[in-house]
Amino acid sequence: MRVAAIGLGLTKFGELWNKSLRDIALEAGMKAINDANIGSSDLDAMFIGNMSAGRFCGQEHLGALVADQAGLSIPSTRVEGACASGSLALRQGLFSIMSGMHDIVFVGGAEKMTDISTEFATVGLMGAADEEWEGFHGLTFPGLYALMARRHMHDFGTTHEQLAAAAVKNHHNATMNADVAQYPFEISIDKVLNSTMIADPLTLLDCSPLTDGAAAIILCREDLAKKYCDTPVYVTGSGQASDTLALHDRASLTELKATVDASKAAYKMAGVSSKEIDVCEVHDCFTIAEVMATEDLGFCKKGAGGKFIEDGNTQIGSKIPINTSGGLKACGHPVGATGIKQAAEIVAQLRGDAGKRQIDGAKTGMTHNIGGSGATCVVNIFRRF
Amino acid sequence: MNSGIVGYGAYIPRFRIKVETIAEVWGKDGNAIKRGLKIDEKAVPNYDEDTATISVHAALNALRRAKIDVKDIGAIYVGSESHPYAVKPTSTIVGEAIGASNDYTAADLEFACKAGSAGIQMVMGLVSSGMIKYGLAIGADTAQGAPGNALEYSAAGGGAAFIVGSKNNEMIAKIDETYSFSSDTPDFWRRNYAKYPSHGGRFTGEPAYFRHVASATTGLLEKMGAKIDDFDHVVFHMPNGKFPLGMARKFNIPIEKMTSGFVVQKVGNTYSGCSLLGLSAVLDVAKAGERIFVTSYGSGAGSDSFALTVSDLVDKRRALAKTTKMYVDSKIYIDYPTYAKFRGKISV
Amino acid sequence: MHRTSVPMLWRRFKNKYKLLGTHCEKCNTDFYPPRELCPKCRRTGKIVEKRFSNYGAIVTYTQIYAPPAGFEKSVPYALAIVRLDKNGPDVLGQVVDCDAKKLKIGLRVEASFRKIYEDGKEGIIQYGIKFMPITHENL
Repeated sequence: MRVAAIGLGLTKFGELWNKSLRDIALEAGMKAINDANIGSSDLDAMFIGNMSAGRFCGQEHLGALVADQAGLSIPSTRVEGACASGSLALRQGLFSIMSGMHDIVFVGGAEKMTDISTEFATVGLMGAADEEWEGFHGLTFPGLYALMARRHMHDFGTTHEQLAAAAVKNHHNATMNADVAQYPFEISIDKVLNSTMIADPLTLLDCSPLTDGAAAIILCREDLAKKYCDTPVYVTGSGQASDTLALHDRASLTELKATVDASKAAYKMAGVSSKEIDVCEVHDCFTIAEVMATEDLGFCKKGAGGKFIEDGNTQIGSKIPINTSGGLKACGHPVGATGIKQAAEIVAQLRGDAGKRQIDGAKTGMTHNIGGSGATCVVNIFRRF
Repeated sequence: MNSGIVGYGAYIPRFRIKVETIAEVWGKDGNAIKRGLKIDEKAVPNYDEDTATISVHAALNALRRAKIDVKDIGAIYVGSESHPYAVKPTSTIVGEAIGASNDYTAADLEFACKAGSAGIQMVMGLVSSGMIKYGLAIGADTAQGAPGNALEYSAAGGGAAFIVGSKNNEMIAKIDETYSFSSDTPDFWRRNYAKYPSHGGRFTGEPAYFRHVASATTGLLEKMGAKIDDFDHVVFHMPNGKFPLGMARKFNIPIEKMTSGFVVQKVGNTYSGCSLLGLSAVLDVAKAGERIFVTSYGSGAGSDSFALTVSDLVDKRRALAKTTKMYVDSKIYIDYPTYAKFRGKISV
Repeated sequence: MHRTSVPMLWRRFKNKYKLLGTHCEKCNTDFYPPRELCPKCRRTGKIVEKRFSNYGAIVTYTQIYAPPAGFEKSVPYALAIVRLDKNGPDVLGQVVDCDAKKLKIGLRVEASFRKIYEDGKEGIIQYGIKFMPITHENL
């Protein structure tokens, strides 16, 4: 039993001062339902990815909230795995259809991050790391990835310029995704190197922003998909893995083992290898994260990610285009929505709907979504036939 | 009464600010102040140091030298005028951090600059009566002087810890005798909720420091039937360098006997830690058989005098932890803005 | 209202005030923070308390310029993962009393009991272990 994605919807990503969490969840959801050409009554269940509405907005119980706003009384469940919540929601939707329990499900993600101050959002995000042993010491997410970056630089000679190349590329891609992207403008290597220091060696432009945004996808049983959609895209592989919550408990500081394990599982299920991936959205919450993901997913050797990106191998039109949406860096990172946004970008690419950033002939695409500093990883593989 | 020091340890924060650096901010003549106070620089705690953290460092050093089972400590007293909490003991924080059992009595003490020496007397009583096996007494402070005030040149951070026991073969120095002299003399105080202390200017001298230190010193010598000449090292409380040297002149003590414990010039006045740091500096250099005389002073006012005799254990034990001089010498100089940031003189 | 939960902090005092973790006697692995279940030996492991070395070397480090709420006063501050001596575990902590220019991978540091965070002017003060450069080895 394969599962198809038959509709997608995204809000604008950014500082959406006029919109609340429920507003953006509804907006993305209705867009997806329209795009799938279904009626809301066709939906059997909903899975909502959200990391921290309780801390960011004081609102829990997201499943019911979204069903309520959609005027539905179907089963609706919130799924949480920090910044990987969106991809986890997609996986739950996948399971529910594969099990035969449901025919058509709604998988979405939403996060409203700008209703509280940056300092408190920083504290809230640290809930994805080890609060008792990392957050306690004043560590932040940029700090966690800076610890990895420093070691990567030390072990492999990776340079800040190489990290910056990922951000520059992602900003360039975002210029072609202006309807959604938070920062659809070009930056330069120099600009990254000289922007405000956040957590040495990472500067402001090495970091993804705080973002409001929502994304939704309609999943459907393979045999029903053609009824609603001429260009269904199938989820052919999905893998998930866990690692220690705390960075200092890990054997390696330069590899996310959860990425390696989750991608292996996804490749195996899809029956492909990294060589067959035509387009990929990776979790570039920080530039170093994109470098490590490029290595851990098998696109290049461990340690070679910086040079691989610097040499242009991940640009649109090159060997393996990465983060055509602009990535978390330039498209924005509404944490619970990110995994669904990544999937929506890959679905759009495989449908041939990606406009100026379209990868010609893309058949197989992949999303890579991380929770915390690598404690959760979800890799999903998509394909058109 | 039989008691003595089985372990001692010092702690001085790494940062120093020079007297002339402070003087420059207020348009004063730094050299004149240095000459007048006989203080060159003072120790400044980092932003994350307080009396509890200083006490823990000093106590851990004392434990290293004592080589006892920490679970045998039956009393912990921390003397300070800068306890982190107004209500909630520093002493239990120390107990937890050094890994003490729960089988100990504890209290925080306050008597301006002599709360630490009062703690030593309290544990002396407890160990020599047999109530406890060992007692830990600490004097530590993160003293604050108001910006621009004369105290700003001297008020420093640091502390020393002493583990007192009653077995002669465990003593680094036997405490031969102690005597105190107290009176109600408000030369220096800090009211509840006040950030900085107030003082009586020149009133802190003759009727306060000099009267009490001299009376306690004389009192102990009379009690013992001893002369100050019988002692090889003398420590008088050091609110600055001038007062203890003035006291030494009064007692005709040769300057050589004052130098080993004269930490104030490079550290400043560490308040409750001050005379105890002096004693720890003396123990770092004293030879077996030498005799030490210490008189503390706390405003408000009182002095505790102690007479000690160094045992031959001292050579072996002093090497087990950082010496006072190591702390005095490991320093990082800071400027006034950094000092103001560390000590909360600018509110964020 | 105070931000921090006192019971949450209090139950960890004994591990946070010193480098006291656990150890699996069966596979000889150290855990700090303490673990109650050995990931390798599972149910057959034997977990006991263990005090680790106060000394170690920096494995990686960063300097934080954009702090979470409550750490504003100490900016910029350094954080490092430190590998404790005697094959000890890797632990995370701030590095203090150290010029930022002197921070480097491999720098020898020792544990130091410090104030971690104050919950405003009226709340609890959290203490814990940070690291500082070693001034005198073996003392």
